Amino acid sequence: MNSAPEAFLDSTFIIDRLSESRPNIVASEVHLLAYLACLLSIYRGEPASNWGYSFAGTELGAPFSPDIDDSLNTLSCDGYIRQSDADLFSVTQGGKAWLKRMCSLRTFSDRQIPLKAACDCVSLLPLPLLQSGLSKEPSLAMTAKLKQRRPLLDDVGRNRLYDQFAVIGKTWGKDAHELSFAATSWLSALLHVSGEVS
Amino acid sequence: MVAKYESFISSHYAAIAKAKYGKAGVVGIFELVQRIKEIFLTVITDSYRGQIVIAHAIDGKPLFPRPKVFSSADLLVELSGDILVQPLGGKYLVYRKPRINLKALSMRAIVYVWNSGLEHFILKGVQGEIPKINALDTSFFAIPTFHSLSEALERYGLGSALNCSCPILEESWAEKARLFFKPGPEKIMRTSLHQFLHATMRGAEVRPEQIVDASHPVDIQVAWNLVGSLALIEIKWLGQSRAGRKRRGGHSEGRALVGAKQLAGYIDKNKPFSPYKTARGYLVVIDGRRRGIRPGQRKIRAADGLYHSTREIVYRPQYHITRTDFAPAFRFFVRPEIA
Repeated sequence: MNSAPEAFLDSTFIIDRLSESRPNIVASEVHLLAYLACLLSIYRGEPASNWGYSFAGTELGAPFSPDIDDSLNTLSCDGYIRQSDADLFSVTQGGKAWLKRMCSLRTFSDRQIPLKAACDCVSLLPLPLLQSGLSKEPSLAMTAKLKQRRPLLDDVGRNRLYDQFAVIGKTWGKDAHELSFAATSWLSALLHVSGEVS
Repeated sequence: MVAKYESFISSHYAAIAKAKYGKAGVVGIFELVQRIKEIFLTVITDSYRGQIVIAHAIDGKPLFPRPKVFSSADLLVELSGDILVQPLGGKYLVYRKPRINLKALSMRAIVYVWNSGLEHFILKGVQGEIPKINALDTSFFAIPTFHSLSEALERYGLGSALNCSCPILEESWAEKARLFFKPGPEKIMRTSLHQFLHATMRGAEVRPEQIVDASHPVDIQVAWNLVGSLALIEIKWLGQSRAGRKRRGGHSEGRALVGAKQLAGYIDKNKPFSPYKTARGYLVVIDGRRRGIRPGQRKIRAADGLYHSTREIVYRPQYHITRTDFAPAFRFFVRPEIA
């Protein structure tokens, strides 16, 4: 498969960023944070189609992207990332050098803002709760309800998402320094409304 | 629903920080949370006695004269009692200020307060609430997370169950000394463990009361995303229950053996319903057995209260040895308050 180049950058960026401050992450968490970054890009006013690749929701209400999946396999084979016996990913020295080059390209400059914000969310909200909150956003909530894999961010899902983002926008702006709080207060609100945090 | 959602977002601690301090508040509270995490990695919260205040000065200057300076968060472990910590320029300034006016301090600093498991921010005099996970006694910013279910269960056993530091689990007892359970404590125990795993298990969906075949629900199911693995958790309790002064029933070691057999059956019955997923069974035994107690009793001696604390259950059959889909059972002894 020919994956979107954006997926290669996103996977390496997320794995590198998270391994700076906490134990490394597994594949499902790379998909999760890439999807959150995609939603934050939409919150900033970008159309979903600009993200470069798409996502589906699994029966468990988790996001999955075939492009991210393929990028993880290819990056492992090429030696840019490595996977431990416990399936935890880390970026190799070669991968770090490659990531630095990719991040310097103008093509990828805009997406680094939502990617960084998505990764920063992990230090404000524990990953399990971040995952649970995200599973309650309109598109993922629908896949979990129907218990079947389906594409995310269709017209209905996007419209409901815009409604929620309009509420967040009353409190939070779209600048880089506000983005992670916009995301975590939104996800915390979804958890609060469902009674999962008090 | 929208109003509730909107109200939560506008009253979130970070939204208050933004409203009160502007951009400096947003940047400052993010920085402060990172330092709170570092400090909680070194200060063991459940044994710390005293109030910990951590403050981020808006002007970036020392808050008071003559602080004690620590070069890293690791060194804070030697501290005790009421302290004020100010992270500044990669160092930690510590002040002994037991009678400090925190509301006044919050006019020039973002203030975080932790005291006996309760935490909040003070933002220009306004209290900013921090979300609370009831099954955990640690700071919301320092919640431990696990990829391994066994590690998570071990942490629950030692951190939440042993001294009953989980407020939900505490509700299962009929009295403060933890001698008798209330009648039918299973539901409370399930809620406690479910909430703990839900907040700490990474890369997995944790759901209570999941049907494993046509009619039987297992207490908790953990399903790992993208992996196709499944854990079925069955909870049993040992000990006695009472309603008022009347003994209502109880379970001894045999209950754990019945639970193991029941769980083995669930795993087998689940196979046709989840043919593409590998299920593994986990038996969790909440052990509240006390020696020689009677209803009306309010105190217990160590010899009786801790009699069962180290007496492990011998399982027959030993499913954890004979089957690959059955984990060794977890027995979480809950200590009573000793007179």
